[in-house]
Amino acid sequence: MKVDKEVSVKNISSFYFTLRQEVENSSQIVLDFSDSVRIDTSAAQVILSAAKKVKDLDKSIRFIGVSPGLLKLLKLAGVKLQ
Amino acid sequence: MGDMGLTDVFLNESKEIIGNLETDIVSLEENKENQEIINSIFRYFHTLKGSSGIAGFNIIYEFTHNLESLFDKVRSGDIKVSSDIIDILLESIDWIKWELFGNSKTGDSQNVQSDLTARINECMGIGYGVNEEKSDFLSAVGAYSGVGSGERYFKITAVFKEDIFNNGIDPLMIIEDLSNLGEVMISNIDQKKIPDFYKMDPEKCYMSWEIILKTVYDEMKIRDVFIFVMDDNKIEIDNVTDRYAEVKEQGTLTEKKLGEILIEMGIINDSDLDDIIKLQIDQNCKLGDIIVQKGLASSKQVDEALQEQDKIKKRLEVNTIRVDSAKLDNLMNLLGEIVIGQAALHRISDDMDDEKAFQLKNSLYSLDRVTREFQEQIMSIRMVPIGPTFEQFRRFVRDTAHALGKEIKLKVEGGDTELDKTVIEKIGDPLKHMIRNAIGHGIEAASEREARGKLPAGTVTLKAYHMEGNVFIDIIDDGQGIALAKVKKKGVDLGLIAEEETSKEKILSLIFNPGFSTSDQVGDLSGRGVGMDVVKNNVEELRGSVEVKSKEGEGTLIRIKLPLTLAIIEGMLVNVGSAVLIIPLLSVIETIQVKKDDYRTIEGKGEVILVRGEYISLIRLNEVFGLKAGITNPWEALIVIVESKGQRVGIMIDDLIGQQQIVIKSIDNFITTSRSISGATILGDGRVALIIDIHGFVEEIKNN
Repeated sequence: MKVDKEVSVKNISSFYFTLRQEVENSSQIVLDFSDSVRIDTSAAQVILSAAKKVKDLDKSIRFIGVSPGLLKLLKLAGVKLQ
Repeated sequence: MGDMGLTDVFLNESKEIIGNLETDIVSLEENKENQEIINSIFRYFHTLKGSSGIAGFNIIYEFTHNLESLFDKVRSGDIKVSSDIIDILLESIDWIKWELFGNSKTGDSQNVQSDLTARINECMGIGYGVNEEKSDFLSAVGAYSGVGSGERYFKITAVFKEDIFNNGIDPLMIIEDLSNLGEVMISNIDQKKIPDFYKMDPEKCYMSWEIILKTVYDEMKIRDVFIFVMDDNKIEIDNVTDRYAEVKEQGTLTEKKLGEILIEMGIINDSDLDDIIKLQIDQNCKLGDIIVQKGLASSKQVDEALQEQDKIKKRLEVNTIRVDSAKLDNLMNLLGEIVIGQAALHRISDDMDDEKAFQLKNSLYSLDRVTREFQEQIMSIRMVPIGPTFEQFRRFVRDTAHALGKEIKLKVEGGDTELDKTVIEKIGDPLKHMIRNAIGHGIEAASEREARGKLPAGTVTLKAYHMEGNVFIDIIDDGQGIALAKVKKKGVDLGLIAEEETSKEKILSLIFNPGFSTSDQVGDLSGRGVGMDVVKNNVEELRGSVEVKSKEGEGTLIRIKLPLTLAIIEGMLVNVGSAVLIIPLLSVIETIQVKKDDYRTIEGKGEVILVRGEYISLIRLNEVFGLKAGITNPWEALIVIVESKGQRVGIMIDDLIGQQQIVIKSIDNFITTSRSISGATILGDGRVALIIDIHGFVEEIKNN
């Protein structure tokens, strides 16, 4: 799943529902941040919650194309990129 | 030596940090993407920055601040490590050394610093104007002044209201701003309030943070970050400098548990840890296993945390206290006096009546045990690992190899091997000389190596290990080896050996003769024939020995054998005439009495004795040292068989007094220049006994 250039509270609903579909339909979710430069708290908590759900469902989630700037934000938000 | 002040402590610490930095930077040149080395360099710059600020070295503080920033960018992947960066780093280290210790030979400090700062900024993509503005800004907020008292730790708790997004505020942006004020040491994000993914309202805020921030800014600056959310949200800012500064900067508090480290690494949070601990109690499993099973961390991350835990343990073990080494020397000398005093008491007890002698000897027996333990403890304090000495050569190997256009790697093994600090202090120069030889003469140019089917890069290996109560240091190079024929020809020309000589060992040992060189050219590095004899003398002064093995085309090994300590030895006290002499127990193989039939005189070899089918030379100590003879017939005397360099000789003595710990007192050259004597000791009755240096003794016998 390709993540938008910027994910904030303005487009969080769209991001949330797309990710929700992915979680429901895929066994392995891949979030591609290649085009993404910034996320906000709303996006971070959606990712955190999705990651927990995915683990509960015995599925997996991966993050690719994370820029150093974005990496810092994800880390500050407590998202584990393993 | 007096007590060390803050500046001395800083300078001592800086020396260590700089040494480690040089090692890491040279290693980074070989492994440009090694994140562990990058992190380590960042930490060292960071520590150097902090310490220099505390000690009031503001120029160093500013400079290392730039280096730290540069490495922060390297760490985050914004900047790739290049040869230019390596050069800048090494030159920066040189400049810091220059500033702190005045080591550099040429140039103007301020110009060098400006040039380096400009190059660092260029690497970071910062123009001069921007940098100046930044510096002014930081100065203005007092970042550089009074840094010692200004480096603080804050615990920040930020719990945001659910509807905060409605006000156009992004908490993550605030946390990001906060992180830009310093270093986030610990970050716990409470995710408990985030609802189930299917039930959450993504437009509501559920997140809260608990952060430990290390910063040079004051509380006001931290508060400024939260200025727009302070009133409506739960924001708590506590200055916890007292609690954290000591732990982080000095590493002097307690060991850390695995869970704590994983929290610090941002892998798990407090609530995760609580759950895991409960599970651990229920399941009686290892914490790390549970964390991996629950998928909270990978095995690799747990392993890293365990390694970090181990490092902390070692740091706590090793760096607990910094003591002036002169104090240790004094302590050792005092212990020596106690040992001598005890020996005197033993002596007195011999002249007492049985009952009192028994009582005194009993008490002395207990005292002996305590003294021995005391000695072992002091010895263990004096023992330091040789690793840092080895590591300091990385820079030397790199620079020397570059100067010669060669590609050479330094491999270090057995850095944990411990040696008496005096030995460590004195072994540096001989090692440097041998490494220089290996680079200059041993290892071939890359093209030559390739032509010989070798890898283009040569390797110099430094290896240390314990064996038979000694420490061995091997200096191995995989170069062209020593040309035996050339050495032999030179030896014959100089009249050092006979044309018929075939012993490889003997021929190779010629390189330790003064002025011996087979090099056609005299260069900056070597070839003057000055050196290996000095190396040998230095090693022998440490009561060690040095030997060389080499195979043409394959490489050379130089092996140094050193005693564990220089201060106290186990010695055998022997009588020769009216004198008492001491033979180091380490060299003694056995003590025997020979039959008259087993004694012979062989032409050209002198007196020999037959020991288990082998003839060995017999030496009369009274003749060597010009003492009045006691027993003159070997079959009536005792023979102490000693060994040096694999060669055995029998030393004739009148009587064996016993064995005891001997505190070595050095004797000046004007008393004797004989290599057969390594020192003296004071006996219990106040007499002085000379200590025989078996190695020098055998050498002198051979030469005469």
